[in-house]
Amino acid sequence: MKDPWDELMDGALSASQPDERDTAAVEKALFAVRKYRSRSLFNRYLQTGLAAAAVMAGLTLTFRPQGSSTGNTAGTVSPQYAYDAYSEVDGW
Amino acid sequence: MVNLNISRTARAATFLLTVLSLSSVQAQDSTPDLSNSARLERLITALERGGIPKGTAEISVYFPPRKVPTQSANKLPRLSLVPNLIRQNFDLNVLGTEKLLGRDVDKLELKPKLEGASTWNFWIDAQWSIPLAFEQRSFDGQLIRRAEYTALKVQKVPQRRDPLAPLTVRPGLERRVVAALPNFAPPQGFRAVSIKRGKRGDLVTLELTFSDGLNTFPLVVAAKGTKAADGIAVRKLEGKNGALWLWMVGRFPKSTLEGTLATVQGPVDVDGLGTFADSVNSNQ
Repeated sequence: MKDPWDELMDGALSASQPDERDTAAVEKALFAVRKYRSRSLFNRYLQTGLAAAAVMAGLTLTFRPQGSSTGNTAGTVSPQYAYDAYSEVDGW
Repeated sequence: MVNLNISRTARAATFLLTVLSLSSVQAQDSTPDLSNSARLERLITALERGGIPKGTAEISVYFPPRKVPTQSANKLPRLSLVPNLIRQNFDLNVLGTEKLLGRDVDKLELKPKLEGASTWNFWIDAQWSIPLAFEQRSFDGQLIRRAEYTALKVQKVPQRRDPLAPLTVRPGLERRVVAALPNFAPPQGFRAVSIKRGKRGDLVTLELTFSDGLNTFPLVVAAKGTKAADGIAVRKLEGKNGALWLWMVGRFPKSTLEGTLATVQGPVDVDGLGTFADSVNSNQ
């Protein structure tokens, strides 16, 4: 992809008259600036979004309840653990 | 007139005697000449032989609660027996004879002498002297577990290849338990029979087993408690290296569950108990 500045210069150099060159140069310059700005904004939003997602993932992993798949919370575990201990004693 | 009345009275008395004699016959098992203690020994021997024959068995467990309480198996489950404690803690009642799968069976009941424990009913094959069905009922009469053959594949006396190794009371373990959990007293009639280390999810536990001969319950020592549920009592205690939790699980009255855990006084120190678990392990 061509650099916006090169595009600007190409437009200016391809015009035959000085006023045409000025107009073309200004139009090209404005287009390039708009394009650059929109691309820059997109990149900024993308970076911000990725950073936010990373922070959320980190927080989730750090503060998730231990063993949540078996019903653990910070101070207690699932009563199924107690029932399992009972069942193992008799083997039923 | 008088003769007529005497005749009626005699007929009524004869009828009454017949009814009484029939009911007494029904309350006998297939070996009416045996004493109750001899019958109990026969029952213990039958249970130690276990569910020998192959066939189809239906096993229902209502405590602990399960999504599917009834499952099929090819034989009856093993029972955790402590013969000496059965002799101490249960009374044998003969409930009569019945037919099961076309075979004559004696229906026997082991009723706990102490309140709170479960009652067991057994259907013992009169010819083979092995159980064809048994069930456990809680202190309030609710069915806890039942196992029963629904079909048998054998037609002669089967021989068991792996007889049960009964559990035994471990007085040394009990002394350690009281040292670790000061003043701890299990429900009357229950004795410590085994200890092991366990792992429940990511939680390391120390699990003691108590038995009254037929009914067993685990006492779990862990660094966390469990959520409240039917048949579970939990108590938090101060330990040498921080808080510890005791879980007691069993189909007892709530007062028995909580009262048993309340017997523990003072801080607990299970370090010695853990060493005991490593060196002695369990009977299982």
